Amino acid sequence: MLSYFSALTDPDMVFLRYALFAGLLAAPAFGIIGTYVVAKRMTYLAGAIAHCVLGGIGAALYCQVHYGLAWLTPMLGAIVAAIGAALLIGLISLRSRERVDSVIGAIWVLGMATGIIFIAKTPGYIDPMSYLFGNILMITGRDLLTIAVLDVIVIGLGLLSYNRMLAVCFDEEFARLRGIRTELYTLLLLCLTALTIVLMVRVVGIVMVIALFTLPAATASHFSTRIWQMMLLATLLGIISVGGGLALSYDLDLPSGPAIVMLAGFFYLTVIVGKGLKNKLR
Amino acid sequence: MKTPEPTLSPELPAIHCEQVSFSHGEVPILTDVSFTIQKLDAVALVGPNGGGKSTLLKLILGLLTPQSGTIQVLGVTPQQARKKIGYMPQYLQYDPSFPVSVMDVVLMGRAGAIGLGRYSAEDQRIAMQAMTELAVDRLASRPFNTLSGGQRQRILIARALACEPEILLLDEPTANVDPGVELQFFEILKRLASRVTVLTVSHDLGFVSQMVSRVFCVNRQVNIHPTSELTGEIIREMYGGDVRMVRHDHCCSEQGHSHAELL
Repeated sequence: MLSYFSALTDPDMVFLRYALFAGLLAAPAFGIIGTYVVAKRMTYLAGAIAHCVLGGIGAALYCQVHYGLAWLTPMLGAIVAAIGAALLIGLISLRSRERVDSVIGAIWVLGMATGIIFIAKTPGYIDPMSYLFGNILMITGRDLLTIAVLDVIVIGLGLLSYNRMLAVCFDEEFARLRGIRTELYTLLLLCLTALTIVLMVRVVGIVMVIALFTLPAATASHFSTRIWQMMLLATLLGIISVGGGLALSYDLDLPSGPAIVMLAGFFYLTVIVGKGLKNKLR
Repeated sequence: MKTPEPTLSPELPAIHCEQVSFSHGEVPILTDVSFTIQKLDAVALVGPNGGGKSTLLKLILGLLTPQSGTIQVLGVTPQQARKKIGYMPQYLQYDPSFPVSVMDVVLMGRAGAIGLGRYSAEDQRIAMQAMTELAVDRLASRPFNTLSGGQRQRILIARALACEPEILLLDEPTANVDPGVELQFFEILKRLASRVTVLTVSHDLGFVSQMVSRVFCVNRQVNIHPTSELTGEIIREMYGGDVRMVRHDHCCSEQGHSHAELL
C-alpha cells in the first residue's frame, strides 16, 4: 500500500496519478446520475448507451486515419455516439410501439459491432481490449480536461434539476399533470447518463462502466432515506472504489478497471448478504 | 343538496362532458357519456371493476383522449385545466425502495411551479398546510416507505391539495384503509368538499353517499343519482350487494338525468 502512495508522487508514474484524478473527478457525476438511474430503474438503458460508445470510438479512429481528421479524437467520437444513442434510445422508449427491450438490445449490439468493424478496418494496431476493459495508460492530460468540463456540466444540470427530476423519477404521471415536460427530463437524464459514461470509459472500459454507475448507488440505497443522501453516499463509495481499486491493481499487479469494479461489487454484495442475514436472525 | 340550479348558474361548470366515447382498441370502455358537474359540487363515481371509472378520471385529466365527444374542464380543455386539478391516483407506480421523505412527496404537488430551481418558503408553507389539513404534518420527515397504507393514502391526498386545486379527483381514497380510519377520511373529505369540487371514485356507496350530493354509476354509460334519493333504507338495501344493482334496481330519478340533458 505504501508503494502505491509513493508511486502517486513518482514523476515516472504520471498515468497512475491521471487515473486517480479521472476517477475522483468522475465519482460525483456517477453518484448523482447513477442514483437517478438506479431509482428510475434505467440500468439497462445505461448499458446500451455505454456499448454504443464503442461505435463512436471506432468511427473516430477510422476517420482520423483515413481522412486525416486529427481533431476527431476517440473521446469526441465517444461523446457524439453516447449522446446520439441516448436520444435514440430515449425516443424509442417514449414513442415506439415495438417491444422496447428488444429494440434497446438491438441498439446495444449494433453499436458494438459498428465499433469493432471500424477498428478492424483502421490500419495500424489498435487493441479493442483497451476500450472494452479500460486502460489507464491511455489517459492523457487533455482527457482529464475534457473529463473536468463534462463533470461540471453533468453535476450542474443534475443538481439544478434535482427537485423536478425527483418528481419525474418518483411518479411520472403526476409530474406530467403538474405541467412538467417529463419526456424532456427523461431525455435530459439519458444525455447526462451518456456524458457520465464517457467520463470513465478510459479508466474502466465500456463493458464495466455500468458497474460504476449502478453498484455504488445500489449500495447507497440501502442506507439512504432521501435521494440526496443516496447521491452523497454513492459518490463516497465511488471515490473509495476507484482509489482502493487502483491501489489494489498497483500492489497486486492487476488490471485496474476490473480491480475497481471488483471492489465496488464487493461492497454491494457484502451489503445485500449482510442485510439478508440480519433479516434472518431477527 | 349543494348543487346549484344549473340554468341559474352564470359560472362555467367545473366539468362538462358531452357525448364522450372512449375505447381501448376494439373494446368500448365508455359510450356516449354526458354530464355536467358544477363548481363545489361533490360527486362519487361507483360501478363495477372495469366499468370505466378510472378511465373517466383520466379523460378529465387529459391523460387519455376520447375518440368522440368533448370534455371541458373549467371552461377549457383538460390539458389547459390540468394545473387546477389535484389528482390522487389509485395505484402509485411506486417503488418501495425509492428513498423519499413524506415532505418530498407532498412538495411534488408544487413541482410544476419551480422551474429548475428550489422550492420557495411559500411552497413549503403550502405543502405543510396541506399536511396539517389531513392531520399528517407530524409525519413530514418520515421516509415515505415506512408508512402504513392509510397514511400513504392521506399523504397522496395532501400532495393533491398542495397543487392548490379547484377540482380534486380522488381514485379510491379508501382502498387499503382500515374501517376505523375510514370515518376520519369521511370527515376530511367532507371538509374539503366545502371549498373545492370533489370527484371521488369509490366502491363503497354507503361511505360516499353521506358526503356527496350525487352518485354517478359508471358502467360503460353514466347514470346519475342524487343522493337525496339514496338515503336510509335504499342505501341499506344496496349496501353489500353488487354495485351493478344500483343501476338495475334503483330507478334513475328525473332530477338526476335532467342535469345531463339541460346542459
